[in-house]
Amino acid sequence: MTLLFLVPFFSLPWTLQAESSGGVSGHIEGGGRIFVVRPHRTDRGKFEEYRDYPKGGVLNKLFLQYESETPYRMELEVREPGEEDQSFLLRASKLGTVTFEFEWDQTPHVFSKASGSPYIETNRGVFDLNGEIQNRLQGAAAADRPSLLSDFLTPTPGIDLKNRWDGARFGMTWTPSSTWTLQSKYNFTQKDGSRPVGTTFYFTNQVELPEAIDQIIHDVDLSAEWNNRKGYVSMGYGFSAFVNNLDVLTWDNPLRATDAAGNPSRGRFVLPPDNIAHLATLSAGIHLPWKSFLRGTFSYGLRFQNDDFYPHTINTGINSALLALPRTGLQGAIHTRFGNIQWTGRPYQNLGVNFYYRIYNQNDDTPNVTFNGQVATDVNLVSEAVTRARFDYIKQTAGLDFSWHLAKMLDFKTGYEWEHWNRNRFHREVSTTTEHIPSMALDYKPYSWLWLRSSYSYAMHLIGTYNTFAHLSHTIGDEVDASNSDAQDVNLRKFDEANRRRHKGDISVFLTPNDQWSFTPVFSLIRNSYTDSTLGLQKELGWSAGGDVTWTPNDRVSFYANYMREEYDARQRSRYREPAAQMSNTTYDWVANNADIADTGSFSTEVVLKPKILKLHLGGDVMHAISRMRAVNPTTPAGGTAAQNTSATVENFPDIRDFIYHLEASLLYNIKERWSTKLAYVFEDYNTSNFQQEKIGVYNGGLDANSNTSIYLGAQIRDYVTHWIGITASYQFN
Amino acid sequence: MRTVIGKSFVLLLLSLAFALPLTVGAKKKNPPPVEVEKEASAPIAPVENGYAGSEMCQACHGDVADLFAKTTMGKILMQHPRNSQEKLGCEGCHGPAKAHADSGGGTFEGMITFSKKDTTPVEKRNAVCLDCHEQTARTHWKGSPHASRNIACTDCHRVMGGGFGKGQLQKPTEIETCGQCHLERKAQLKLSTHMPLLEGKMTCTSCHNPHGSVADKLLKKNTTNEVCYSCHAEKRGPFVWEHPPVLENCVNCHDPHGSVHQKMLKLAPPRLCQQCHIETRHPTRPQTSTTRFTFNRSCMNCHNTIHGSNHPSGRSFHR
Repeated sequence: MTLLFLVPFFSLPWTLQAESSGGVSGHIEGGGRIFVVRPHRTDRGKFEEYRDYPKGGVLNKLFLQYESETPYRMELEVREPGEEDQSFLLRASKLGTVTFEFEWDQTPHVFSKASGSPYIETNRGVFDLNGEIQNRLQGAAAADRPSLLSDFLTPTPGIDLKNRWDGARFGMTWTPSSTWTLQSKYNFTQKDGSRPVGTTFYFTNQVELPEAIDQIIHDVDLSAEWNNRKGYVSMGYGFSAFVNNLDVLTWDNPLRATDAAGNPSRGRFVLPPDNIAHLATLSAGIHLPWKSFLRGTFSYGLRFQNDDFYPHTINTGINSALLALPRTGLQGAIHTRFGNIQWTGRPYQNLGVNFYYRIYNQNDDTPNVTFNGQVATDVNLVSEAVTRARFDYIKQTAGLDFSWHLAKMLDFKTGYEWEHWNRNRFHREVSTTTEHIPSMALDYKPYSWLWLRSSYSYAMHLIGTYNTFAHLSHTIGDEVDASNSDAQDVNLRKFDEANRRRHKGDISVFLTPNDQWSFTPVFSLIRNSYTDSTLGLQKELGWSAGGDVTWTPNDRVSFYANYMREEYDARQRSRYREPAAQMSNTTYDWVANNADIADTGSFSTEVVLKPKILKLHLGGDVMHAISRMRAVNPTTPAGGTAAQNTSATVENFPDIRDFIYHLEASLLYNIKERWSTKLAYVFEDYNTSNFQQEKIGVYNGGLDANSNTSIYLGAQIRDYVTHWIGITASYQFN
Repeated sequence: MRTVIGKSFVLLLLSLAFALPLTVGAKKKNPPPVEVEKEASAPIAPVENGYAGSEMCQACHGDVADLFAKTTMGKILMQHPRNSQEKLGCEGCHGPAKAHADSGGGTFEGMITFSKKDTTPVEKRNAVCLDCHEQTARTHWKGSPHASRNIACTDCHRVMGGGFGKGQLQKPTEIETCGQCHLERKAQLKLSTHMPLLEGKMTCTSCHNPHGSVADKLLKKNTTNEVCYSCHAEKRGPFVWEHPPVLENCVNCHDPHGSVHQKMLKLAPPRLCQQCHIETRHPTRPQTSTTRFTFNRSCMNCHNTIHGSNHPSGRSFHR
């Protein structure tokens, strides 16, 4: 790949060099990486989450630029060629007229390297088990199955859960005249690899699999803009196609070798279907009196999806006329319409006015489809007709704000925003919600070295009638009330459909007392109260405080540091509901108080030990985060059976903790005018404590008795510590 | 992998096919400046009309001029001007400087220095930049949140050279440039689950247009979900079975700037799911930490197609 880029780069411009006085400049940096301590292969899940850190020789960066006295230029930038996260950028341009770019970029995404699975992927997306274990487990008594499965899973072959996104981007911008700009872009993205996915056969038999990922996205964007000093008109068209080369995932049930109703030998679920989206946009703007500008934008979008339906189940033991598919595919069609109009002006020298109105309409025009029966997790036939829901909505936003230049160094802004949602009343609980948001901001800059910025807004989110049973009624076609065990509790208000009051504010101070110092303390706060939510999310409080500081006492020393503390607290109330007798037992209420606390910071300092010769760099990052999920029963659960009372009793979850320390030191030595070398030391320590995954294994019968016939991936994200030394040399062309 | 290399080779050939005519065009030595239809708003000012000429500026500000000459804008203005305003060179942006030169640098009357101590209103300073750059990504600058809060172009861009990247940013990366004011967002990116911004695979402008947009939060697309679908097109649907809060807004459940929870969720499941699901039985049971409803992927141990299912029997997102 590297050679493919380098050869033409060197060959093309250099043939021209003889005829013009241009030349190639740039730099190249490469060297080696020696791990003093390298995380064990299975511990590198987090270390290599989005990056590749190989040992040995590496080419960090190559940058080449061809320039001449003519307006033509060409650039090539190569980063980490040959590594999983390599990237290439080729840019050719005629200054101010045409720019062409081609970029190739790879991004690995590692989920876990400490995973295992007994399944063999015989074809992509087809996971087979050793047939013998299926036969043995099928024939075994229920009480013997856990130990048989546990033995079978000890040991389990290790697997890596990772995928990689490869992206190619072509872009061209052409400015044939000062009024016209034409742009074209094509993006190609390929995702290849795996990711963990959970599957289940009803409640008792879960199978976690490395879902095969083989997907492609094509995106094309074309636009043309005419713009002069009086206004502009632009048109754009975007096309996006998602292609999934895999339709379904199938896997063996470890407990069954043969199909039967209630006992499938295999499971199957449908992977994301292919889809296509179009978006056409027209936008125009014009300068008007009062130093004002009026602009409008309209977009029309279409999304289609019509992948063939797969049968309700792969279980040959379930046959019913109810499972006849109503048609071959969804014939899914979503129409979107977006409109935006904005007027911004300055009727008086010190007064700016801005008005805007936006409307977004998502209209699901998919023909109705009803399935007369369903098969729950390939296990049981459910003889209930279910109709697909259409979640149309219209979102409107309007705002008016005024900016006053009150004094030479004082600016005040105040405004009001209105947001209104209309949802399909048949399927969401609330068909209309309205939010009123008055706001203000004050910017004060009394001196060139002091700038104070602050803002505050209050939001009142009001809902219409809350119909708890809307979705269920129109999905299963029956009249539903509170007695229906599938219905939500009538006291619940989902947080996006609840009455809410919000206070939000922030303040920032930018201090630059002299050329040596700058200091930026900031503070922000957000508080949400869900005033009528007896059940559901009730309160949220988030705040952050921190700042940046830079110090450059002279041209040989510079220092930078920052720190931020963020806290988020939320309280939610729920109720354990066990039909039929304990659906409304208020002693089964429980309250969860969740808190996230994160401290992040970094520092960086550079010291020029010998001007133009020797430079020392020290830097580091730290992140500490704790997530607490506490819970309490306001009243001791009572009234049901002992088992039900126990189920209603809450416990605190263990805290989740994450720590990351990163420290690096480097010494840069300029050997000659063009040559330099760098010696770097890097230390990184990641430490996590997460009850949800740190004890997880492939077999988890010891952790949860109800999981003793389940198979997981044991996808842990493990701690790691690494120290490495890097030696690089760089050469500067011209 | 072989397919990928094959595809990339084809892409490379295409790229060369595009690049070749540009490069061949370079054989023309010093082509004449492009003729333009429009006239610059600034008058074509002869030197004696208050303008000193760029040579005069360079006599005192040679170091700055040398730095500027290396930038794309410097090359256009100083070597390949396309219109009358660009032909003014330094004074095309800074205004007529004859008085400044005649006074030996003692007065800045009629000039804009763009320095931190420049008292010229930000709107007027920005207007100089917008005179040429109010196109494409900058079309929606006027009335944008940054414009209305008096953010100057030079707060983020270093026009005179020494800037970083194609946009000549004030700081080495977009994260640091945006992070000058958005410190909280910059900090969030360091949390344990984040998108690959710190790794250099995404930038703030992957999702936002800081120069203004038609959407909330300066998003590049019309809605939050349309931005997310750019990369996560598999979640675009439409599906047979939709999960309404997913359909309406991805950030109902995710915090795209980073989180302390897996998958950038705003809260760890099952608590996150339990904020909305108070039906009966297991969704409402508070659960203990060692059950299959809580450990590993929690609710998603079973409800694996939570973003939408196209399976006829996928109503509960199991299939």
